This record gives sequence, C-alpha cells and structure tokens, in this order.
Amino acid sequence: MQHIISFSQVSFSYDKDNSIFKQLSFSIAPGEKVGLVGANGVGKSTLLKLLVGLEFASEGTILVKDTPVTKKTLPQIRKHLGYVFQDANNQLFSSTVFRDVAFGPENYGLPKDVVDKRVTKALSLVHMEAFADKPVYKLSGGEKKLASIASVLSMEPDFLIMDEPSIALDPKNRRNLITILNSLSMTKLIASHDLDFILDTCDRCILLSGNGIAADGNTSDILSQKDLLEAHNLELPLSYQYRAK
Amino acid sequence: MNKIDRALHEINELDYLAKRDQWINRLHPLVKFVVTFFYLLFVVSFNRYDLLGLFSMFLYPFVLFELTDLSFSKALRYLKLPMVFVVCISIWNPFFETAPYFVTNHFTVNYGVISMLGLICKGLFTLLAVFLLIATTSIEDICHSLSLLHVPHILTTLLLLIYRYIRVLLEEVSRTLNAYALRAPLQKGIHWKSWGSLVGQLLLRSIDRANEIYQSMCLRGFEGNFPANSIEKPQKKDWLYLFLWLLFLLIFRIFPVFSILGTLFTVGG
Ligand SMILES: Nc1ncnc2c1ncn2[C@@H]1O[C@H](COP(=O)(O)OP(=O)(O)O)[C@@H](O)[C@H]1O
Ligand SMILES: [Mg+2]
Repeated sequence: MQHIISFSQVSFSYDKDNSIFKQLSFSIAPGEKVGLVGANGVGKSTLLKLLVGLEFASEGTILVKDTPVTKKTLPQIRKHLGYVFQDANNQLFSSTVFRDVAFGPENYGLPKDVVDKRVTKALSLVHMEAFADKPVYKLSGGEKKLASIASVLSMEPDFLIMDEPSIALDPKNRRNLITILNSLSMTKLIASHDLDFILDTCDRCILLSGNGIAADGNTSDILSQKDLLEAHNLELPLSYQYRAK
Repeated sequence: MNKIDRALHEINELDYLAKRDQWINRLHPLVKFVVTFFYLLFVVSFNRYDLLGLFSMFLYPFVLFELTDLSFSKALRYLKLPMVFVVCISIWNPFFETAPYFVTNHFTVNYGVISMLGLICKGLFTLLAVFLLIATTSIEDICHSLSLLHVPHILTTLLLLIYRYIRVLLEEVSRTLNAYALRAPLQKGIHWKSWGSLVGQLLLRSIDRANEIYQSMCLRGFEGNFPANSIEKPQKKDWLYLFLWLLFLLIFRIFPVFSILGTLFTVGG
C-alpha cells in the first residue's frame, strides 16, 4: 500500500444543476501533511465529507487504505480516520471532556483500563489533562477546539482530517494549535483558507478551484505564487506579503 | 440573563450535579433506575383518598435529600412549572366530588379536597423521584441502564438524542434572540412580522446542528448501541441499595404504617 487515501475520477454534486467536483483525482501517501486550500464555497468541506463517508461520490472511487468508501465499509474505514469538525460545539456532546474523549474508544469496545489510558494520552497530547472533569459547556473556544481534537486522537487514527481548524481562534490559541499539530506525527489533511496556518503546518498543498485541482505541490512553492492565488480568490499569506515588501 | 439562558443554565446545572463524585452518583445507574421505577409505580398505585398511605411514600425523597447534599428547595424550583400544571389539573376536584369526607363543627371537607391533595402529593412525589434520578445519574447512564433492561436501541438512542437536541435548540433560540435584540434595540420582544422567519431559521439551524452532532457520534463508531463495557456490573452495594429500598417501599405500600403507628400511640396514650 503506497497511499493512505486516493481519489480517482471522483464526481459529486449536491443537486443536478451545479456540480462541485468533476473527475477529481489525487492521492496522499502515509506521513504526508497536506493542506487543502481554496476560496469559500469551492468544496473543501465537501471533499472531507466524501472522504469520511458523510456524503457519497456519484462517480469514481475513493480508497482509504485500499478499501473503497461505501456504506458497508464505513465502520471499517472510520477506524482509520479522525475527523475534526469545523464547529467544536457540534462535535462535543457529552457532559464532561473526559466522557467525550472516551466516547470513541468505548464505542470500539475497548476495555475500561485501555479507554482510560487512551483518554489520558489524548488529553496530554493537546495539553488538556487539567480539563478532564470539566463540563464541556464551561470551556472557552480554544479549549473546545483542543478537546474536540483530543476526542478524535483517542481513537488513535492513522489519518487526521480537519476542517478550518484555525477559524474563531485568537492568535495565541492559533499558535498553540500549530505547535500541537506539528507535534503529531500521523498523516494529516487540513482544509483551510487561512494560508498562513497551512504554511506553518503542511508540507504539501492542494489548491482547489471551481473546476477541480488548480495546483498541487510543495506548500511554499504554491503559496508564494501571487498570481495563482489571486486567480482563485485568495491572497498571499501574510508572511510572504511582508517578505515581498 | 433571559429566560432561555436560564433554562440552559438549569440543564447545565443538572448535568453538573449528575456527574459529581458522590456516593449516590457512584451507585449503578440500573439500580437507581429500577428503584425510581418501582417508587413511581407504588406512588401511583395508591387510592387517591388514601392520604395517610401516600404520605408514607414521602419517606423515599426525604431520606435521599437527607443523605445527599442536594437541596430540597432547589429541587422545588426546578419542578415549579410541572407542579403548577399538576395543581391546575387537581384544583377542580373539590368542585366535582362534593360528597362530605368528614364533618366538624365548623367546616366540611369533601372527597374532592382529599383527592386534590392526593393528586398533588402524587405529582410532587413522582417529580421529586425523577429529579433525584436525573440529578444523580447522567443521561448517558440512564439510557445505558434502559438498554440493559432490553429496551430497544432505537428508543434509548432517541431519548439520548432528544436530550441533546433540547440543548442545541435552546442554544440556538438564545443566539437568535440575542442577534435579533442587538439589531432591534428599541423593540420590546419580537415584532410579529419577524416570528415566522425567526422560527423557520431556528428550526433549520438547530436541525443542521443536531444532524452534525449525530454525525460526530457516527464518525466515532456509534451504531445505536451502547458499548457493553463502558459501565461495570452492579456490585454488592448496588444490589443492597436496591434490595433495601424495595423492601422499605413494599412494607410501606402494603401495610398502612402511619395508621398502625397512629393506633399504637392512641392505644398507648
Ligand atoms: N448540504 C448541502 N446542500 C447543498 N449544497 C451544499 C451543501 N453543503 C454545501 N453546499 C454547497 O456546496 C458548495 C461547496 O461547499 P463547501 O464544501 O462547504 O465549501 P468550502 O468548505 O470550501 O467553503 C457551496 O457552494 C455550498 O453552497
Ligand atoms: Mg468549509
């Protein structure tokens, strides 16, 4: 197995008239950190949903570790995938942080002591040990984000998928999140229009446009091309803007 | 704080109470559920004129409020609304059942008054028992114990999701009202023209969010059933708790303990 996921000739539309993807193909190898960028509404979130089986492609195949994503294979493929929602409020639903982080491992039928270990480990990865017994509704926005990441890490996924992780985070929390993400070694796919965030966390970058993939390559190569980005309604990352001046 | 935020606050507070580390919270949810269930059954089964018998059922909430640090007055505040409802229903009895129950020199108490008091007692006791269950057991644990009793998964999942949906709905209501109030500062309440679109938006948004929460559960391996090993089996102390309460309740249900005590005292005196 060379690829952890691969899309081949994938087409998708929410309704007949406007298609979101036509014949989309790309793949990601184990260990890669991939940023998925593009303007609002190009279909970043949709692509992630196809990957975890919240939506299904009308044409083409999506493979996760060589298993095609279909209704039947969902339980199997979802064990490998950790999907962090854009809005942490919708991801966390249990009464306490601990219970929420334990939810995944418990569902997979792990014995209690293993569950406890996993929860402790996941919380320590995001530096949230002190919050284990806190009620979720008492967390700040940044803490909720970290808790939602922990609730996915406790399932020990091979592949971390995040939708707009930096949205609604203040600079300090954002910086903290970047540090934490960079300390995690698994394969990652991060969708965002925060290009600086992608620059700091990913080594490969896929630029999505209305017609499919507009560019795919080294993050710093792609995100430094002013004309390319502007053609797709994006702007140079701030760090490059300063450099240009 | 507006009324919605207060409701949210109350739900959160209940959640908080349920997850504390107290002896009664640590008891197995199944035995607490079963005790509550039989308590409700016993309370409801009393004849509605048997006030003395009913009063003896106050033993259960009384003892639990004594043994835990839950506050009785706070519980009453939670139960205000349903209690008003109970009172409204039972308040008509005195007008319908006019046959005299007992007569003194000064006034007559008719059957309706007795049955009204009986109904209010039943309402209060059952609500208190449910409050005691919810304030010491998380909704996840309650659903889990239901599934241990072979209640179909679809029902337990439904209960769990409804409970979560209530919170989502309240949050959305609060957010919508705040957004509206901020942009219509001079308006008191909501203009009738806006009601339709506000409610529509609210429904769509809260359904969207509830759906996403459900997806988040599915993505983490949820398939409608509760993991078998997330809760330990009941232990000796759990069985003992169950046994003692059932014994007490049964004794108080079968024997008119208060009347017997009363006769004893009158005989003695
Ligand atoms: N559930 C849905 N039903 C219909 N259209 C949708 C739905 N979700 C998203 N869309 C549309 O699909 C397009 C892509 O959306 P999305 O994947 O959320 O974009 P992005 O995440 O890149 O901002 C948008 O035009 C959006 O309006
Ligand atoms: Mg999106």
